[in-house]
Amino acid sequence: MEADPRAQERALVARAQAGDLEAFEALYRANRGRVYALCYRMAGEATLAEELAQDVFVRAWQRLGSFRGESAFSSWLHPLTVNVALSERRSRRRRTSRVMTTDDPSAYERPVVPKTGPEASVDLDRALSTLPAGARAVFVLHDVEGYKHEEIAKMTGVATGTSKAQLHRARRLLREALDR
Amino acid sequence: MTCEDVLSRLDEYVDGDLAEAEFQEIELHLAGCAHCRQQERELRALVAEAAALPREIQPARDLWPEVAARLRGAEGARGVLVRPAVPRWMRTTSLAAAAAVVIALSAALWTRGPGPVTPAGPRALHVTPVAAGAAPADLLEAEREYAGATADLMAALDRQKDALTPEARATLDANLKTIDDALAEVRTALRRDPGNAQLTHLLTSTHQKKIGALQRVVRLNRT
Repeated sequence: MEADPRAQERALVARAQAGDLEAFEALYRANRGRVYALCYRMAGEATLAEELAQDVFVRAWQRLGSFRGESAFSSWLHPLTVNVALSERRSRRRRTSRVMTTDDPSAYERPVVPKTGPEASVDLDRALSTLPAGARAVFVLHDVEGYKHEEIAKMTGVATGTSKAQLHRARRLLREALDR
Repeated sequence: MTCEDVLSRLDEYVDGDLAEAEFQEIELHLAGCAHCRQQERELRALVAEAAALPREIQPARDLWPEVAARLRGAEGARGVLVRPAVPRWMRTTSLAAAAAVVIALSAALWTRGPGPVTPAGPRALHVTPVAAGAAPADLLEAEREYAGATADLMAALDRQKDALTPEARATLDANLKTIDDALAEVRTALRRDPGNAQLTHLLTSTHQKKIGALQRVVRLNRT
């Protein structure tokens, strides 16, 4: 086995591209933590995050042919993960819109965060899960993942101003939830 | 600038998204307003905390068994044969390279050795590399060899028939029929235009697709 991790990864990708499921499993194991973290934060709950993470790897397998090895596999996987999480949010929003009885978003803006975790990051992750989906997605993409508003607007299909407004809302709600 | 003005722009100030003049105005206000400075500190602390969140969270359970099951079966049942898309570079390789890929992939499943297909000892798989725009006789020979390779794989699949669900088999058959239909169309076009290099390439790459699909099913059934 080659010592260079990138070379090892390239070899695994090449094998997976040729249909080797064991090689793809190795890629899954190396990347599942990163994929799941993003899915968990975007979804706001563990069960849905698990489903999304599975979807990401199924889609990655189907699209493996488009990976040319010019970047790290994790870099290729990242936007794919964002797309899967955002697609799910869009379809969920369509489903939810059929049963919502109020148009007042403030009705959903009262996060209650039980503060049992000793670590701040646990508190923040927990607080994140209580945010409205749109605000949570923008906060995760901007403040956690480092995307710019223009990029987020493109990915989510909203105006840049809307992305900024969602971020403002998310930060305000988080500070309230964390009592800061 | 009032506190309200400043607080409404604090996100952009902290993110460095303001024009210089507005930035300076807010700086000036903050220098003299303890309340807004406190808000700024709290906002910066939240942003820093978010940026420092762990990049990885391990799921509570291993998701691989379900991912693998979907790759092996359910996705295939929806019409997408269990395989990654063929890389673009592989789709655009020359006829000779395509034939070489078939040989290399098949070597993982078969050992060389003459003779007919039998459960105990599969026969040799040898596809003679031919160039794009090859003479009809060479192409015919390559077609025969691809047909032999396909027959070997089908025989291997038949030996595994108990491992393949009826749904998966039906999906496989449907995919094979689609590929066979495509092959027939390309052959018809080649009869009209025998020297066409693109059609020659298409014919061999379609054969390769069929063999690749079969190989993956055979291999996945073994895991």
